[in-house]
Amino acid sequence: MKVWPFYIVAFCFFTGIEVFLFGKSEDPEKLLLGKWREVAWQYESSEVSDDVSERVGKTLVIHKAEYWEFLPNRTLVVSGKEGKGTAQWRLAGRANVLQLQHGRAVAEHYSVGELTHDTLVLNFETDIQAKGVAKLVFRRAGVL
Amino acid sequence: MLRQYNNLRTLGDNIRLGVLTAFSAGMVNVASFVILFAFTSNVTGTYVILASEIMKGNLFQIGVVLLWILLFFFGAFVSNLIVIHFNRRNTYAAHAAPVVLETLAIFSVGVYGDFFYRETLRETEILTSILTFAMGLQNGLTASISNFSVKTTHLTGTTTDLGIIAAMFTKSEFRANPELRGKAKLLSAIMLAYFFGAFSGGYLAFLIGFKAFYVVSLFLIVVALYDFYKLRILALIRPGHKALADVDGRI
Repeated sequence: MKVWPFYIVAFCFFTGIEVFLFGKSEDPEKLLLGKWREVAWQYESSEVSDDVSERVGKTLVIHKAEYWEFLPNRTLVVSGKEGKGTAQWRLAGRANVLQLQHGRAVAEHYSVGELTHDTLVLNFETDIQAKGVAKLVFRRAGVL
Repeated sequence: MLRQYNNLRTLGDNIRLGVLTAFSAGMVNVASFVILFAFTSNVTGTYVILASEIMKGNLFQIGVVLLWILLFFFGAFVSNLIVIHFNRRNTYAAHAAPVVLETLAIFSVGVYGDFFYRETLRETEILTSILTFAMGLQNGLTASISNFSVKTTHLTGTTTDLGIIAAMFTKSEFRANPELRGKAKLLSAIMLAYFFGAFSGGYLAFLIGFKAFYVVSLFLIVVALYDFYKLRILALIRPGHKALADVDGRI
């Protein structure tokens, strides 16, 4: 019995699945572009030890901004009552990691919890103990 | 290291192959995580992620993760396709070809990352996919030519086997068994090599970024060339040796 047809069918099957998935999905980078309004800062864990808080503070820039605007040139403009700031943004992994680079020194990493047309949820990502400590929820600006 | 097949291999062959390839796999895995935020040398976690992404209904992520799994599979498939179909003609070449392919894949990631990478998601996914394919190539090759005793891109099986052997060694009859002692040496060597590879890969990735993949490529070139040079040297020392190698594809 010839086995090659089976291999070819399997190859076509999985290629078809991939084409379907990528064809039906939206590019996360394009979804992220635009202006987002910060609507909530949630602390998921109620018991955060001083040690963990201290470590989070070393690598997390506490944003007190109201709007985050992701521009196509990879610049993030963070604006609010206290003025404007910029950083370089990048999606990595399977689009599950958002990296914000502030100059050369500080790089923040967020786990992308949700990214849809009107909602963006970011979890501050660091080592295991601090994961999920902070959760930022955004709505697309102009969407109620 | 690459020229002998299955049961013809000595413990020394397997340890040399295991140490060098485990070291390079550890480097690739951690370097890819540091730079691209994705593990590339093990797919157990990737299956878990796939299930979780299916539950969330994230089509893009499902596509990406499924692609990584398929490419790891395809890498193992391609390397064994080469070994199985060309082993009788020239064992060394059949075993070296997947390593050469793997080296090219990893080197190309290094070059692209070093000179052209603009940190877009599409580039990140493609580079991760190439590395996953390369790791599939390596794992498929080392497993098949060592009679499934050397798997170097992940440590779940290695750690489990070591735990089993450690438990067996509580009885003197097992401690006296040379085969088990050899297996323990091999697994310990792989485990340590992977760990030090991972450590070096992480350190180099922080230090020199994508250039870390050039270092991995160098290790793989050593793997591919080691036996070639050994064959040449042996052929020079003992001229009859080459003839024997040509006849049955091994020394």
